[in-house]
Amino acid sequence: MSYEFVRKWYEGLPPMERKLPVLYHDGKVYSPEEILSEIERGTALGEELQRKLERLLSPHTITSLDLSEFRKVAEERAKKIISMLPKGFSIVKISKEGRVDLTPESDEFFRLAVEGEYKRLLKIFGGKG
Amino acid sequence: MRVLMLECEHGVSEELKYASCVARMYAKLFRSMGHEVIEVRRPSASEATVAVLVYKPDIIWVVGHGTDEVQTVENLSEWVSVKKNLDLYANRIIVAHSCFTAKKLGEEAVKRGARAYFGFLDAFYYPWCVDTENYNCACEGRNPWGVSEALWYRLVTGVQEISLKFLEGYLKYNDFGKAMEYMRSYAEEFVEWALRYPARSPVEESVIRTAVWCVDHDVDNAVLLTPEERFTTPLGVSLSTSFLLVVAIILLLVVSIILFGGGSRVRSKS
Repeated sequence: MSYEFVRKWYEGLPPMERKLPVLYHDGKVYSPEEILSEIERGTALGEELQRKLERLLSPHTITSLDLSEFRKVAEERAKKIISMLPKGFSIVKISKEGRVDLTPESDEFFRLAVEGEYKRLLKIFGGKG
Repeated sequence: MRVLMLECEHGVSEELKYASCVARMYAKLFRSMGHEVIEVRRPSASEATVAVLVYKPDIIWVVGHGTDEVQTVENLSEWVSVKKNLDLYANRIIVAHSCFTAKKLGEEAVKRGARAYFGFLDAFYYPWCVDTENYNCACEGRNPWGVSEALWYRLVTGVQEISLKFLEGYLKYNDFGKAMEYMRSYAEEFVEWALRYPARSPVEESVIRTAVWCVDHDVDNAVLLTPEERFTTPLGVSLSTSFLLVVAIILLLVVSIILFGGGSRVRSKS
């Protein structure tokens, strides 16, 4: 995959996605912006990230290990987004307990967020999900 | 068709307004499409029952809190359950904007004669303003989060449109499969729009994202139950349709084996 291909992939992402973690590598997560910057600077890390990205963006190459890494990345994305929410923000559900407000600190809110971000990652890598 | 819309507003506080104010907009749309729409605002359980008996609707849309077995209306009053008033759903299409009711209540309603039941298998989540401090931020765009009014308006109303888009699709096409498809396409377009929205701040980005999580979750848990088929969102194909396809493929295989097998025997004899 050429640098141009990565650049095109990056530009095709909604601007909001570009700052969010998308790849897990050696215990760390990287956003498209960070990946592109490493590749542009020609670092060894950039090369490794590009190789991984190339594999994930190719059809039929997502393994169960990748899926568990997506889960970790989704958690990081969820944490980052939740940290930006305004003070006092909540969502609500109309459920068996009557009205239930879910604050961003609650486990249920976090689970919903992780699930949502996991789906986004599947979409990003091959339109799956 | 005749549509009865039970527009509850109060559950614990005014959290149901978020759906019912959107429903009122759709009522106008449905009328403009040539359908008869009766709106009942804030019905108690007995008022809801009377409305069904008097107006004899083809379709009932209702918003209220739900459990696996119970549909409530205004002020959490129990209206229909697997044990009570279920005959009100017979011969009708039910569109329930409430948590969990597609699980048992919907199944039971269909077993007991409902033409179809659209509902949710899990909790229905949506963004809102804490209404004790912010009245009417449901359909007005006002919000305490620093989000632009136009954006907030679209986010809070957009999540609530899922069941209404199903209903709009059905009124348009008179076809359950197409109605589910219409609802799914709407959700996909909403998510695509939201993710590409030029947010002005990290706060706007995070609030947009929250609305997307809600829509993704709610649509995945939307289900249509009919006596013949169960349309589910994630698969996109009804289970009975899939079953019929599998049976057809097996039959084709059997027929080809018989034909090919017979042919080769004839050839070997000659």
